[in-house]
Amino acid sequence: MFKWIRRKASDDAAPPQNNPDVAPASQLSCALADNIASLDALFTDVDIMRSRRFQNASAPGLDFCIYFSDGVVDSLLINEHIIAPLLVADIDPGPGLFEAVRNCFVMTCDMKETTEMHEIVSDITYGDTLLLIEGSNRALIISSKSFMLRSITEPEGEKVLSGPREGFNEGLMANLSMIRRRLRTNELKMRFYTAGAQTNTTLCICYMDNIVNKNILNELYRRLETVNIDGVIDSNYIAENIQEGSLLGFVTTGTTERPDVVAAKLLGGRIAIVVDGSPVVLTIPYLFIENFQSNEDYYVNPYYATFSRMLRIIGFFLTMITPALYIAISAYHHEILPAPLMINITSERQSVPLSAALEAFIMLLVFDILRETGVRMPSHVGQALSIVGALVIGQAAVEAKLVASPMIIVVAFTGITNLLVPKLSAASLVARYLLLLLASSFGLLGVVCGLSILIIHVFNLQSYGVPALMPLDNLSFQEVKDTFFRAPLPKMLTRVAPLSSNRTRARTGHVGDNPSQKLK
Amino acid sequence: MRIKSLPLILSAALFCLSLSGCWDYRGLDELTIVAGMAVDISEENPDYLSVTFEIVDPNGSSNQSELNSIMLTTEGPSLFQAIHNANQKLYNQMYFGNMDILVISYQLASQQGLNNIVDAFLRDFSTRDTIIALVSREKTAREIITPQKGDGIISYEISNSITSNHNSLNSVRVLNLIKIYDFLASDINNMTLPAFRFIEEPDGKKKLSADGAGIFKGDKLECFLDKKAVPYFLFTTQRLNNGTYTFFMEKGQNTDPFYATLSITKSHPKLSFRVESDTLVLGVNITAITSAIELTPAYTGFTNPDIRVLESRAQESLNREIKQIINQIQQGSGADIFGFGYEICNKDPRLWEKLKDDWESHFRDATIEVESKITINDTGLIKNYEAHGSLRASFPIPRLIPFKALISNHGTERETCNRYS
Repeated sequence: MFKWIRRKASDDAAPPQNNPDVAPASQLSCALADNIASLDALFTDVDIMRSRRFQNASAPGLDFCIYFSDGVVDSLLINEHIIAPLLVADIDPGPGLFEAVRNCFVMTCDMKETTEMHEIVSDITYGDTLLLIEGSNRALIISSKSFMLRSITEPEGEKVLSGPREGFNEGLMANLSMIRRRLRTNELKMRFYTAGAQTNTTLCICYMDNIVNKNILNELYRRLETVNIDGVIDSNYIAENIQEGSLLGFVTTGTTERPDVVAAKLLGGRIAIVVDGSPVVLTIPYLFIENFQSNEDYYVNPYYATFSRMLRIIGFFLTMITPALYIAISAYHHEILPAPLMINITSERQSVPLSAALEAFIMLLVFDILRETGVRMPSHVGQALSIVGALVIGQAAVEAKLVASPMIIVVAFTGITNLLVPKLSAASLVARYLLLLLASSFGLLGVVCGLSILIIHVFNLQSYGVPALMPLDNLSFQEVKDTFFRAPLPKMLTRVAPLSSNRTRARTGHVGDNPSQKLK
Repeated sequence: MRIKSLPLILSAALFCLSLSGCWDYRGLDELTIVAGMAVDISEENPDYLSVTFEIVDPNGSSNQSELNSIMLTTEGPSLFQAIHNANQKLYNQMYFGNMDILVISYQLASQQGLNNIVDAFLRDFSTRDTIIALVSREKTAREIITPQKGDGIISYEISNSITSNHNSLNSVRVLNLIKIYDFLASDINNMTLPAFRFIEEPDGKKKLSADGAGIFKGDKLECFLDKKAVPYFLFTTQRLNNGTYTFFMEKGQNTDPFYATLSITKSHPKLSFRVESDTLVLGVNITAITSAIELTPAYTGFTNPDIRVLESRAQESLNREIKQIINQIQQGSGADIFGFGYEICNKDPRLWEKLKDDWESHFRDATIEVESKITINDTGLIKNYEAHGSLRASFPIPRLIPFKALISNHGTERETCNRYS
């Protein structure tokens, strides 16, 4: 039976056999007509592909042909700077024709010559123009990209109150320009890389050459070599293929939509991977504490930043253990509750049909359903839905004695604290249900065992060979300056050790502390 | 990691299951919360116990802000049997984890003793050992925890009022179950338990009130300590940090008699003993720091050195009262409720070896010495109050300056003035 299914599946997956009349050549030939024929064969049924054949006015046998994909090119540039000079110029159709055209007549800044057909295909589909010349087996690929991009806006998921508000969009070059503008040094290296057998997506690997740890960089290249997929639609396609997996859903690759974050991470010795077509840039390696760090931490007062960070860390624990603790205490360890609280909860739980544990599972599921609908909902509908969902259903359920009201509080609290650490929402989701299951079967002992498993797991996490939780064997201020609290910037003197071979971040302390600088 | 984690999780789950033994999910709605318990001798069968439970009524309290309770009385030859019988009458099992008080009727305490009851608590019931035990001076213990209308849960009210006045002179001496275990296990000391009874208010309502303390010999109730004697008993047995002490100030050279009330800031007792020519001398030494809060009627013509007089009168009065009460107990029950035996046993085990077999008669024959040191370090008056009139002559002493520093200066000044006038 399984064999049959497998055979059936492989039959379905087999590509349709088609034998075109003209087999496309992989290299260009000297005859323009042959080249046009093989390109036409390549782009059979691709109506968006345009070609234009024209002759030089002064030399009648001198034919040119341009190929371009409509909609992604700047037609004005093609008309004025490619076609026009070649039409009217006085060109000598001799042996140096190709060099003459390349050097003297085409009036654009960016071009390259090629003989490879696959290179031609990937470039002209991305907005470049191919110029074929009669009698030459080389062709010019002239950059003429022009397409519509989303404007640069502040990312929805990473809003800040103070600090830069630029966000990446879907254009690779626009994104790179935002990074480049922030790091004006030759040490910022940007290496292009192509991934995806069908999509031919361009990636750009950015790093600071004098800061990055070369071992991590080599490991990244090694892993990128192993990526063998048909398409890269978003940067997550790359991330999931090269990162260390986590059974419990912990993140091991950083993502951001903000150029300021990327610039800061590059300065911290990390490597950024910008993927064409995605506003989400990957940063590696990703330490566990980065889940709780936010770019705004560095733009506001350190006390405020420290407080917010502590809240996030507490919030992560609360969102995991609140339902589990409630169930464990109310079902197994009643002695923990003081008498008035116990009586209140007991009276609320009277004549509620389900047991507290089952109630918790159902209510958490209901909350997750509401959250999921809220994400996809058009914003004007979303508001109405959240009122109906959260308020009306919640209150009605309590009044109809379907659900006890402490459970509503627990679930709401869990949901709110979940939003404190959005980067860990997958992990906290898994951990929450796991701990709830353990709590409803074994009480507090189960919760403690579950938390132990969780902590062991997090200590085992690695990101590109770097342990996600650093062992603090040699505890010093510089090791913890940016973990549970955020030290003032002048006190942050070094980079995190395994991420950078060049640890010194700043040499001087805070100038404002020097009394000689104070005004008399 | 991937391969190892699965067996790890499974084995952890199995260990939980086998080791914890808490495979007993019990939701809060499956509990009957017992707030207090009262134990009487059954009226029909004197061999049986009649046990009354005050049970929190969760249905009554969900609709109103006021909590309600229901009473349930069962009988049985033992406490266990009575509880078993009660559980049969209830839909949910009884839960003793939040039980606060245990009321024992004086008939039961004096006839059968506490051993059986305390033993039952010690062995089973998931109760807290901080339960407060009381003796009922009413006809039955049941009456004490029977709520009157609008009272809420009477057991919690009683335990709240007792614990909030803890370490106060105006309260009772609280014994938790865990201390009762200790008392019953050792034969050195005799214990006292607070006694409660209803007192009729002027408006005809009955109000529950502390009324002395039950004195136990072994586990049996012997007699009751009078309500008026309780403050002096507290003075000798425990550290206090709250409460007031009122004494009568007799007519002095130029003063009329009046009542003075001191507020106790800190007080701690010290017991001592010595053997003087074959008689045992037991000493009580009390050090107290107080502030004068009320002198009635408001007295004029009272001068600085008179603070010393006030202190010495307070000491005399306290010494006299405490000595009188100890003497009364020596002559009455002869139960060493003050802890002298424990003190001797700790400090001089050899002497205790000689005394312990006949400790009661030794205690009865012992000479009692009471000494106290009461310091008044605050008059409760603001600085330079005299300038404003009314109490001009009474306390011409600025507050916040220790009396001792001032008394000498003012004293000499006054002496000089007197000499030359």
